[in-house]
Amino acid sequence: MTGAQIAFFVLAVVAVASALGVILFRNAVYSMLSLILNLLSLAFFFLTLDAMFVATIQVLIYAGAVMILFLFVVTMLSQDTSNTNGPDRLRWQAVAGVGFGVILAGGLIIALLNGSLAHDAHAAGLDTLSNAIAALGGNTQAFGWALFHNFSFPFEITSVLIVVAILGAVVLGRRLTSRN
Amino acid sequence: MHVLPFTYQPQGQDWLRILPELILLAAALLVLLVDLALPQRRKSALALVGVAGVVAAFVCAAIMIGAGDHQTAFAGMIFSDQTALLADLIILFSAGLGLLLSPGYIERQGITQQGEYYALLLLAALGMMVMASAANLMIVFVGLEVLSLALYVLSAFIVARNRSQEAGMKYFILSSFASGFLLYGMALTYGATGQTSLQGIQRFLGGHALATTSGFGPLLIAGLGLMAVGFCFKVSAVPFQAWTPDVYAGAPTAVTAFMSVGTKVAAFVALARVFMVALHPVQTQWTPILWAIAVLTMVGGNVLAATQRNVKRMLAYSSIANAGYILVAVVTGTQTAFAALLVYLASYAVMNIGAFGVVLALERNDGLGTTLDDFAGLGRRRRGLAAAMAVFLFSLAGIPPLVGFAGKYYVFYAAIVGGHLELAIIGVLTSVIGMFYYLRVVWAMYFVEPQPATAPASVVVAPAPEPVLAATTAGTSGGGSGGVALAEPAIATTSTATNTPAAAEPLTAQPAHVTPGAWLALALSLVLTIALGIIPGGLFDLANRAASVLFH
Repeated sequence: MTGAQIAFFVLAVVAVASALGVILFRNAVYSMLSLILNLLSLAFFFLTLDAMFVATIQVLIYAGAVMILFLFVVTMLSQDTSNTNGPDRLRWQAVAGVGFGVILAGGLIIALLNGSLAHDAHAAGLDTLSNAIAALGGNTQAFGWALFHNFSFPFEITSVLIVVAILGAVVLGRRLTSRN
Repeated sequence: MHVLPFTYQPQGQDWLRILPELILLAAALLVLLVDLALPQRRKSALALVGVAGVVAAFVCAAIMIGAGDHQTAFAGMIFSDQTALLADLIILFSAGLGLLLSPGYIERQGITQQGEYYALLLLAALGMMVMASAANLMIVFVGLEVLSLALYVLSAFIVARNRSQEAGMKYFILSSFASGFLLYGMALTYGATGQTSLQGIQRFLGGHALATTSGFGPLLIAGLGLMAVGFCFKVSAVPFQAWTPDVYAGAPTAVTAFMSVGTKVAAFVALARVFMVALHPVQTQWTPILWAIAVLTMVGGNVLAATQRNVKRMLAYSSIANAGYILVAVVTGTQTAFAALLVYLASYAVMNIGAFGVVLALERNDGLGTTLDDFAGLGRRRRGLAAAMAVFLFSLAGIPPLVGFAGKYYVFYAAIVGGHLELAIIGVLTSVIGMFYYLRVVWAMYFVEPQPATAPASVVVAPAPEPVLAATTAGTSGGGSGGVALAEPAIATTSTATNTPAAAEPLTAQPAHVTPGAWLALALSLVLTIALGIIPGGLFDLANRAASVLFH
């Protein structure tokens, strides 16, 4: 077993356990903390995939900035847990949900284990990302080239998406303050 | 030495090919700026700015269809082919009509943030156009998110109506969940093919040796299955339809009119591009999935619609049923079917917005007044509205010579020619159920006497919210909105409890307000419903040319 494999299995256990923690903890703060752990372990995954730039950004932006904001919001809002602890009147829904979830997870595991055509794609020289990293001499350079050349249009459209999100936040937020 | 990848530089012509989208974006930003300068009572002028932008983009797209430059722009990220432009035209038409229906109506509903309302409506239309033109899975997703985020907020726009809040929240939670499925499916498809570009996926699958022998690995199957779930949620196909009636009934009616059409156009064109074109080489793999969903949707949508007494909810279920007919075209998967899909979307846009426009004119400030009982005797009280509604309903039912017949005829024709006779038969049979619930409204309008209000409780309660609402519109703070929010459940319970046409009396007391803009919108969709039904040749021609480019 190589070092990379050991790292993968350790990280996989941490990632799955922390993801379960996000949805299973009754306390919202604990959920947030395990989400941070989950995002951190994803950053390590990116590292093992030689995507150093994405790993750094993952830590800086998600685990750092965004999640801290989340944590602030959760701790500042009053923790009213009365609704989450009430009797669940739709128990059959939970049972059916778990059943379908298991089926979906099983299907995905079979799909992922049975390999893919991706190495064919890699062999056919379609894996432009590895080529780019080699040709441009680094992760960050390759990312920047991709973002501002072939992927400039998705990049621009994402800015429209953010405008929409800000507008929505303004609409819903201003209404909250005028109601109280 | 490797060749340097990622060297694409956007050219001037790339920007020219997305000119309609750029015009719409400029209009949305302009609305936000003009909003700052206008006093509160002049805000309806914002709709004019929006309509001007939509008309400019519409003319631009129409000219581009004529120019016939079917290229992709930005390194194969976005199409500007005839399919994209035709979808743009339909989306812009519905956005323009949504804008025309809004002034007056949104003031009656106590919406004060009009700048944001119009800007979000325009940006939602922009997202729809981007999604319908997408040539890359990434753009499909970003376009979808732009339109969805804008629609979540628009659905929840009526502060004083709890059902509007509920609609926004429900749509947000369920739709984000579906987006997750779609994204996961796209990721697996990328894993299986090494491509996110639609043309790249088609080329890779078409040129792959396995395509003819054993089919593709489970990774691709899982990917396209998850994508099918995501898309079917967005087009509200059964069994992913549960959100549709609540959201369509709770959202402001002008928004419902626009989104019931626009979302369908965007999601179905993207679905058709992904499944009918990009995944065409593996058609045998996805046909059974979508076949089952199409049958479930046609049967489920029509049967559930037949049980509704609220016309707004009935139209929501009818939009589910219509999604089933369009899925028939997707399952058929031929070039003719693609053209039929475009024709159906155009015909659905024209007649459905009109029907919602009439509902909007009859809806009262508290969101009631849209049940069958409220439509009783409409033929005598409001001749114009009733006649228009009758035409739209006849068209939705698929009665010739209206445009709904042209759409249905072409879809079923394509299904029979394409070897899916069984789907055409199910489609025709379920359309008969459709006739029942559409014509029941016509029956109510012309042959049922409106019953006088009997329940005294509702007479006491019903007038109460209107002065409060008016006060909210005038710009009072907190107390007013809280009062309405508290008052609303009470109204809802009385009218459901009495279950009699309590609305008949308030309806006469508060006649339907139809602004000039709304009249224009109704007239436009009425003229097109009849004109495109009698002479559908131009539309068929356009759709056929668009499809032939994709299936050359």
